[in-house]
Amino acid sequence: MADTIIGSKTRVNGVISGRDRLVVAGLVEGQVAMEADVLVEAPGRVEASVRAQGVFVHGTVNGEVAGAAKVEIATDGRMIGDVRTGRILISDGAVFKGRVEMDVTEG
Amino acid sequence: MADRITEIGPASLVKGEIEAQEDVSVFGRVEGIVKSTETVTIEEEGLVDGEIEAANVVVAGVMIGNIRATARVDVLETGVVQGDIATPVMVLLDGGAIKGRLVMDDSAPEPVRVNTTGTRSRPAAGRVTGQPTVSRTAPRPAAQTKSTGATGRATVAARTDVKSRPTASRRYAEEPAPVETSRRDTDLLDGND
Repeated sequence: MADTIIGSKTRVNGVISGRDRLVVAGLVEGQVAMEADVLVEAPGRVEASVRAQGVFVHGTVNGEVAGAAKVEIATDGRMIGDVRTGRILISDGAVFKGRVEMDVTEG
Repeated sequence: MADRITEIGPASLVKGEIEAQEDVSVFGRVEGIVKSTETVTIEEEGLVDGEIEAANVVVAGVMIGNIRATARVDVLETGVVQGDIATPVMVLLDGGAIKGRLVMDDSAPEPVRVNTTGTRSRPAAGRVTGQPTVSRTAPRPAAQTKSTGATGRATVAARTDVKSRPTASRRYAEEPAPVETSRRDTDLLDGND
């Protein structure tokens, strides 16, 4: 499947949904509902609630993450909001503020 | 990896507003407004239902709604536009389809304004529909007459001008003998319609 890319000089205000992988290098406000992975690249910012298969944070996510099988917050990542996921990885140096709720029935 | 332009993937839907200071390519579907200071391209399988405001617009897919380009619009062989187009330069290739008004206004267009920083500013949306009326309310009648052949709207404006004021063009359409003002007006209307 191809990618949906929000470039570094782009802002989206609304709902992004679909089966493509979503790469955010710019700014997304509103809601993200992907049936694939969401990758937030280093300058990128997501001000939205996120539903996706996997969420990989290098930039900033400000919002609730739910329904994800896996969440990774990299060393250059910044995540503010509650996370509901099967697996979570928070790297050394990453910023995280929020609650984590892990789906114990899945593991 | 760092410099990527915006692409809406073939299996993606964006509902809302996209504002960019870079190229935007739509392979999937956008319902809403797409604004760019650069080029917006609707790829062959892509669809935009809403409005596009950009420097350049290329349509190879389907556009439902109005397009305002400050530089150029290309409708390719596979392109379909259902809506009005306002642009200084227009190319329609064989096979491309347009259903709507085409306004080619060569007066300096207002640049596309985008806001990619996230601070809210809304009034830009109204400016899009307001744009084409600028030519009609142009202060100098001379400019209107010059562009008469370009659009239907300009022709209408010129005719109203003739009716409201006695000018040279009106005088030689009538008999030289001076008649009552009210009667002259009815004569003119009959002659024109």
